[in-house]
Amino acid sequence: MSAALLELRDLRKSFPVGGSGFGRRARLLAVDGVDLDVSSGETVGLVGESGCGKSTLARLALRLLEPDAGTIRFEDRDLRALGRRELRGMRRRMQIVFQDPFASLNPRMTAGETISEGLRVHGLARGAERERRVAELLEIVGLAPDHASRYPHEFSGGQRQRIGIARALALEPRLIVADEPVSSLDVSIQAQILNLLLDLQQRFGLAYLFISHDLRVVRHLSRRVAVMYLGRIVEYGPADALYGRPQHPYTEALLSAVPVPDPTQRHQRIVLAGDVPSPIAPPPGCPFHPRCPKAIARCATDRPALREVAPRHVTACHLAPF
Amino acid sequence: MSGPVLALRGLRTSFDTPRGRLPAVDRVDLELFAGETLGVVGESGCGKSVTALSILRLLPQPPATIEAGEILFEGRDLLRLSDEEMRHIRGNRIAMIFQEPMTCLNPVFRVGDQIAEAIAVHRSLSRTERDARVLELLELVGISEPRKRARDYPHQLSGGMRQRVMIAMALANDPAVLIADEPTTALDVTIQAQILELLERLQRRFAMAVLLITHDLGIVAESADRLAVLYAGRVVESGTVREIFAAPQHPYTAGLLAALPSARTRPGERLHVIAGRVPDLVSRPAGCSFRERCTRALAVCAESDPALEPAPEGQLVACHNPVSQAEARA
Repeated sequence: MSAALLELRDLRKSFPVGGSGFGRRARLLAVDGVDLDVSSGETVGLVGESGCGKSTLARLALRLLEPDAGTIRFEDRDLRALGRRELRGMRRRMQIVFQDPFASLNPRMTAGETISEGLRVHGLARGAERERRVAELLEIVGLAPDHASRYPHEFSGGQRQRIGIARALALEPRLIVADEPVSSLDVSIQAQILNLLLDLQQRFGLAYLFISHDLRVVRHLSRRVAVMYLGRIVEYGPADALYGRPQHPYTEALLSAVPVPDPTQRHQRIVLAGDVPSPIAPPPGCPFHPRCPKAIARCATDRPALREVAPRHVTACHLAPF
Repeated sequence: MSGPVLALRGLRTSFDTPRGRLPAVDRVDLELFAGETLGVVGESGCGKSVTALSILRLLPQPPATIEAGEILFEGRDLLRLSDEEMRHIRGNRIAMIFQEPMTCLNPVFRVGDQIAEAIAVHRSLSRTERDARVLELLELVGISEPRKRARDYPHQLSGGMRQRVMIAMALANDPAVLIADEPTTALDVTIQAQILELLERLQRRFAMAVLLITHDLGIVAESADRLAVLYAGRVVESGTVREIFAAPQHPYTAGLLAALPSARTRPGERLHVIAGRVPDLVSRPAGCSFRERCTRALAVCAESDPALEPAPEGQLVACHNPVSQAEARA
């Protein structure tokens, strides 16, 4: 088996919250010991609800945020050991696409300037060559070459997301971290962008770390899926197995809560009690135990470690396999 | 069978914009019966929220104008009521909940007091009776320790809890109709499941009619009895949820259903795409608004705007060349 393109080991990140400087400030544990691999050309889906740490993890993976601990290996090099210049070189091959196509484009830059900024920073193409490359990228993402001179406000949400994708592609990356790239789009536009992501993957052999709260969309794109809860991965495995026979009660509840667009399928919704606990003071033992319909006494005291319950399928639950 | 509790006939609501008059909703007919949930679906800008706000006359006029149509509720046309009469309806006989609870919660008052206020506007109860009713409502919407929570300010509650408080407020006066505008869109999926479950339970218990506005076809499939699909300010198809999901007849409805990753699509395969985008409503082209994106358009579609008419299969469709049942099932 080939080595992973991206390899995260025991990644941790916390943020200070509140407090006025007296005494110890509370810390919010956003990412709490995450291991994750993404191989060349594959899509790994990362799902979870607000505040589970998935966006923080995305930024840590690219070292846009500095982790407190853990290692990030990309193309077999330790990103945390690299100096600024070397890191910048590596960043060419790992790009990010953000959720909000309104906030993630500079309103004062034309589409062409946005797309070519990376080329300029890395000194990759100049003058006519740069223009030619911008036109080519616009065409790849389904826009017209004359769109290069327009500003973000002249585009619809779907078109802006295409510009964001063209910007990410400009440097010919091997990995794109896509953080909720279709969440703010209408269904018919969402389908266009998902198709584009699939086409680009095939054409350029891209790997995606695809982050979304929408389990249907993640299923459609991903070969493997990781589920996060309160800063930890609670289940990780092949998409078919994870959706077909979830091995963590949280995954099971999450899947059952997704409304199914088929009125002939009456499925049993598992309604979890209460809200997600605060990541500032996560519950002891299994962080999911206060809401878990299957919890036993042990879950309140022992934190379950991730363990393999089927080939390449891991879960952090004392009771698995189900 | 008795008539609808709420009926919209030929509703037309426009906005004055710097570029001209924009008809956000045009010739919309809807009927809502007691005890049922009618899902109103469509994408951004299709007019679903404008329809809801028109019913309660909550749109600022100007720039909005309700130009034509009737909104019949309990035998009266809401558009002909005085402001005073309308205040008796709003929050009393017809209540509304929103995507963002802070739309109707005031950040500087305790939630219990806000619910009490919603009651006091329409009913004269003694202080004790009112306080008892507030606790009863909080309990009804599944808020634990209602006595304690009633003293909380909105910011002390989670998103899901705030949504529950807003629902309690909406139910305060036993409305006949509840309009729910994207009530779970801002919530996480497990919290959404809680709120949908709550709405279903309350509806059964009080036999309310619910107008459920959403962009999520999954929510409609699970929670609604009937469905109206809006496109560019018009109802393009309506019928029972079962009929429409089994055999959508308007090409737009069919396209929307096919665009969704679901059990019918295989992972990794290309999704169905509706080419192009919604037309500019200020300069709406003649004929059918969907024709430029439609793969089934005929010459006639450019000439006349199809009316919403009964199709052989039972639902209502506004299309010159509807998808037949055989095609839809193929």
